[in-house]
Amino acid sequence: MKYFLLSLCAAFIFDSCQWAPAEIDIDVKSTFSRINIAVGDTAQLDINGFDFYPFSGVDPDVVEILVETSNEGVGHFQFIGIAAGQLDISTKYSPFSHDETASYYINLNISEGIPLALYIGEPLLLNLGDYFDESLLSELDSISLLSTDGSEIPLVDFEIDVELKRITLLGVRPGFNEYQVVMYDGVGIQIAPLLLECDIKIRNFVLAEMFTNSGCVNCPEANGYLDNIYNARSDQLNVVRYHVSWTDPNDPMNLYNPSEVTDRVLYYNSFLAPSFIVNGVLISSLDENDWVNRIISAASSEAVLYLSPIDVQESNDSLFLDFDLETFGVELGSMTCWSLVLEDSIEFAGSNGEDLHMQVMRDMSSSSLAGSESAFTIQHSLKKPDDYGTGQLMSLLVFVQSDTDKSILQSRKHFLY
Amino acid sequence: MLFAARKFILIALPLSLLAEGVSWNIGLLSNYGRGKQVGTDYNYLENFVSGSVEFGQWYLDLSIESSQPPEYGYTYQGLDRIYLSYIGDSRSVEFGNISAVFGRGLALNLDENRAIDFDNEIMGIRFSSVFMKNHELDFVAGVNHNYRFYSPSSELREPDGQADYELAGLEATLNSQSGLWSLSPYLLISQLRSDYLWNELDPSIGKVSIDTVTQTVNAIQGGWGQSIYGDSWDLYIEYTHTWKAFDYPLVSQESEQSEDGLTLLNHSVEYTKPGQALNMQINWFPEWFTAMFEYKRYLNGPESASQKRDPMLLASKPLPWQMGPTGVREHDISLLGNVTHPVDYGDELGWNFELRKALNDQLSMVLNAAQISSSTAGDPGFLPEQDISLNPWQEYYAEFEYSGSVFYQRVLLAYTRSVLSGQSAAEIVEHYTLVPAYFSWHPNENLVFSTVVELQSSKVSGEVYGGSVIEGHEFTSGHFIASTDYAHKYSVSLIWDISTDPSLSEGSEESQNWISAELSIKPMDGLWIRTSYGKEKGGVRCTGGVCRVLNPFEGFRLFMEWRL
Repeated sequence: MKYFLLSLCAAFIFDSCQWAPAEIDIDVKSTFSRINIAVGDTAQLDINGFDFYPFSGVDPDVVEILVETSNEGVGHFQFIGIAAGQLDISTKYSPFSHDETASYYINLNISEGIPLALYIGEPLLLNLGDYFDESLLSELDSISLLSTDGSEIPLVDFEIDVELKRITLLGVRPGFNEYQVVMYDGVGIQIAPLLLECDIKIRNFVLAEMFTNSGCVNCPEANGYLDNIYNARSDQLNVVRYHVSWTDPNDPMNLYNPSEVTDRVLYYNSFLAPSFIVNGVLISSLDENDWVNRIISAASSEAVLYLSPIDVQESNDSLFLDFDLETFGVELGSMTCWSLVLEDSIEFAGSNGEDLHMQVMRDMSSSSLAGSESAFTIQHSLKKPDDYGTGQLMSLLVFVQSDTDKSILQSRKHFLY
Repeated sequence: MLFAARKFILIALPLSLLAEGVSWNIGLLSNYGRGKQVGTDYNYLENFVSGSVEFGQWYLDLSIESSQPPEYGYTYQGLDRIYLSYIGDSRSVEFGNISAVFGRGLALNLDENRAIDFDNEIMGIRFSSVFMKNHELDFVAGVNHNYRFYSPSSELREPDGQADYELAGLEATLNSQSGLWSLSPYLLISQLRSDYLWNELDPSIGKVSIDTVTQTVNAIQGGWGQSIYGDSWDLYIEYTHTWKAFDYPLVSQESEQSEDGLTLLNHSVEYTKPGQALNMQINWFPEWFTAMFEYKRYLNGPESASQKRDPMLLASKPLPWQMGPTGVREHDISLLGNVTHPVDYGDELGWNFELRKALNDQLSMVLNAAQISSSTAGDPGFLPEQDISLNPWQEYYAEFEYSGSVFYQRVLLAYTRSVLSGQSAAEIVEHYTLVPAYFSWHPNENLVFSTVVELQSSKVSGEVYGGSVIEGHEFTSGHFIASTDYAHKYSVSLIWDISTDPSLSEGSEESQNWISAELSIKPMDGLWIRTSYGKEKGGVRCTGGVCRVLNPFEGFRLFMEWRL
């Protein structure tokens, strides 16, 4: 009887004690959004969910938020710019069911001028008709663009087309500057002022490298993940796949160029297939979600190095590449610039069931970049694949890798045909 | 007063030790290697100075390490292990580095193996006591703040990660008066902390940041082992249930970037995870043979595919001290050892059957068969299946042994089939192993000539699930040893490995050779020096079910053990 009572007490103590660690509460969904508006403008935002809390961090002198929540699980919000300023505001809500929590964070920028995001080398067309009434612009005779800081080295090149009433802006250096658009009518009277707030950046392309083989059993899964990610994010991602000699030593895509694949294997000290590397960092997981997270995270970093479009000349057996590299004065240490020729859509029935192979490295070449210069002109010669021009898609990939920590500083792709 | 007490202790303690009759020994173990592995320098120097003192019922063991660096693990100089025990008539107490096993290790198996840098022992206390004459209580408690772990396929010298834990457990062993059965219930509580890669949306920078946080796992393990003894048979059965709870949950995290912004989604949130393990062994030993059947059902942590491939994620895996019997025959044959199966204590079903028969006074026979597979996700059965999507492994083994006064010979034949399952296809590797000679000849009392000949033919192929078999490639391997031993003091061996395995090929040659020579001498009592030079093939080194992949090595090795 006493053992029974003891057991009962032990069971009671066991059941009543908090043996589990304190749980870290997490939101099932969290979202970050930037809203840039000019003073007097409005922005709309719809959030799917229920039970919205009022936004925190709101300054009524800067922004006014009008809320209209429908019964259909959607919150409608309207932001009206009152005065220039920057606010970080957030709300909590239930995204899918009432017992789950989510957060929505907004970085709200209200500016006196028109906020414009420019990328170096990428033109942006500004239609003046989007900002002024047609009646005002009908008198337009001339336009000039004045930098408000008066700097000698322009951050932006521009072309003005008075007839079409538009301005084409082209970022040439990273930085931030304000430009006053001054427009006059035929008798020299200023029509209306327009302030442009230009934030010029270098578009960042992430490089994903995959070591794969037509016989390795986990490679179809890994390559499938990478295909999905590339298809969804080709605007911020470049991909190259190196075919290694294991598990299947007869993988023809390894036999194309085994020595340079081996060099790359030794460089990363990665002897497993599949091995996945994002911007020079070996990722040990085989999880599509984790890979997406890492690529998005890498893409959100600001690039400090610009690669120009690639000029390509062909001979019978070679491809000659010519492109520029610019660091805009940022000291990046010693680097290596790589050029590769890639072949897409190679059909080969591997013993792991894969029969279509994408972004296969066929040849690669490199140059060491050292010294204090910030601008380089790179010229590389690559061997033309023997089936070049026979229908398989081919492309060029160039990337710059830090010699210090193997991080990829920039990459660029160029489709050959 | 204090001074007088100290003086008394300083005089009384040595005197009492001498009166008790002190025995002691001290030793040095050195392991030195200089060479290359996969084209990179591979040097190591390990030194362990150890000593032990036994005085009456007390025993003290101390070891100091200087590794710069070790063969596996990190460079370290300092205390390697310390152990103090008192063994009384009905009670014993141990302090320091504690190794312990509850039952057969399904719930608790604390052990160390330097050869693969595995050490899950705790620094703590163990107390054992007899109660009610023939029953026993065993209590252990302690911490391990330097647990290093490697992924099963790791071939690196340094671990994938480190963790720390505290645990305490109590086991009672109840023996029947008749001696026909014993029952060992046990209970363990523990807390484990390990690194966890955690994605968090950081609104201050507008990015999803990937942080390494510390994940805490609290666990309770309860179970029992039961032995039943018959006249010509015995049965052992053990079951363990594990409850685990986490602070940071196990979760699938997914980022999405759209025109609206950046979103982080947390799916499949799990704050708790249960596990269970069952092991059973029946021995039957009638007069004319002995038979053993072992069954295991380890479901300590069935994982999703992505969790399984994340070596850092300890929370979803079995606890580091959950290592029951492997259920696989341990091989002393090099080529068979290299194709053995690392046990997945998280998700594995299997059986192992062995029959031994003495054919006459000098000739005996062993037959062994084993099958293993992982369980079907969400619906774990009881028997292993040879479905190629379930990582099946099987081995059939026959051995004949002759042990005469002058000659010793073993002949064995084995078939091993291992399958590595992917998402859409599996890699199937079959090995046929023949050992025609495992021979030694003792022409006189001092001299022994030995030779080992191991031959293996292997076939690698692929199979798409529900589809066709795709031919792969075939290769052969050989392992040969010729050795001579004189007076158990001096021995010299020549070791030759050959393989046409393309994955081991370093150049354009079709076959690859590894030749090394080993010299071993024992110039005096307590001193043993072993040195080797040449190319070694590498392979797999396992302790229990924990395995480490060894890369080929080329260079010089020296091992010395000196004990006074």
